[in-house]
Amino acid sequence: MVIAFGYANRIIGGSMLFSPITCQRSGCGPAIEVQEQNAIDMFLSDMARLYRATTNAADNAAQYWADIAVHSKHPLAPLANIPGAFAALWTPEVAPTTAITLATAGYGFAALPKNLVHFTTAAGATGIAASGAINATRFGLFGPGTYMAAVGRPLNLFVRANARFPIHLATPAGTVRIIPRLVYVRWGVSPMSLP
Amino acid sequence: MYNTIKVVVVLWAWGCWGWVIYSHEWLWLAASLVPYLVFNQIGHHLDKPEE
Repeated sequence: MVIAFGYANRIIGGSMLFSPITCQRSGCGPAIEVQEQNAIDMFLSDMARLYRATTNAADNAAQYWADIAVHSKHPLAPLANIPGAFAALWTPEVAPTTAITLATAGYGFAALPKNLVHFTTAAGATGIAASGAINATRFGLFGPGTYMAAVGRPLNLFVRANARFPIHLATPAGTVRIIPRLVYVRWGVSPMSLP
Repeated sequence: MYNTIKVVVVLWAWGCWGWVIYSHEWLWLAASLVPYLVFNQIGHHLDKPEE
């Protein structure tokens, strides 16, 4: 069993020096020296190089398609704007925004739970049972919509204390993850019909 | 009273989020949620009409 490890990174003159990382086994076994301690730095450096290379390539591609769209006499030349628009999403100026947009969309929509729970009050449950629909919250913390969760109280304090009646739902289309496990919302003001 | 306080805590949260975007002081993200979470625990004692 590893009982101790140590490492030391020193920044001297602007460059980082890496001391060997050693792990000491219990029972006075031989120390293990971990090699390739620069692996993470090398990986990040490779990623940075890849980012620069791809954004420069996209810059060239956007220019290439723009030239065709503008200068070509072919009747279909305006169609060159289509690949040009995609290439323009990964130019050095626009790539950070594109990356943030994609990451946000992935966070909000990817791999949602199959089932969620809408918590409501006794009066709310009666109304839902009578109408067969869940009314949207008009003025919610994360905007108007129908709020759901994967876990309830007492862990989930986003659920009101008197909302003790769970209504189990198959995750509706258009649901967005706000806080994993705790807050999901289907934005909109129209009631959500129950199957 | 319930609805009034709810509006206040929600607007407080939205204001905090705007300040976080402007100032990049991420501590306000936590501060934005505290009144809402407290309100969720005790708000039902106020005079909210039954739904």
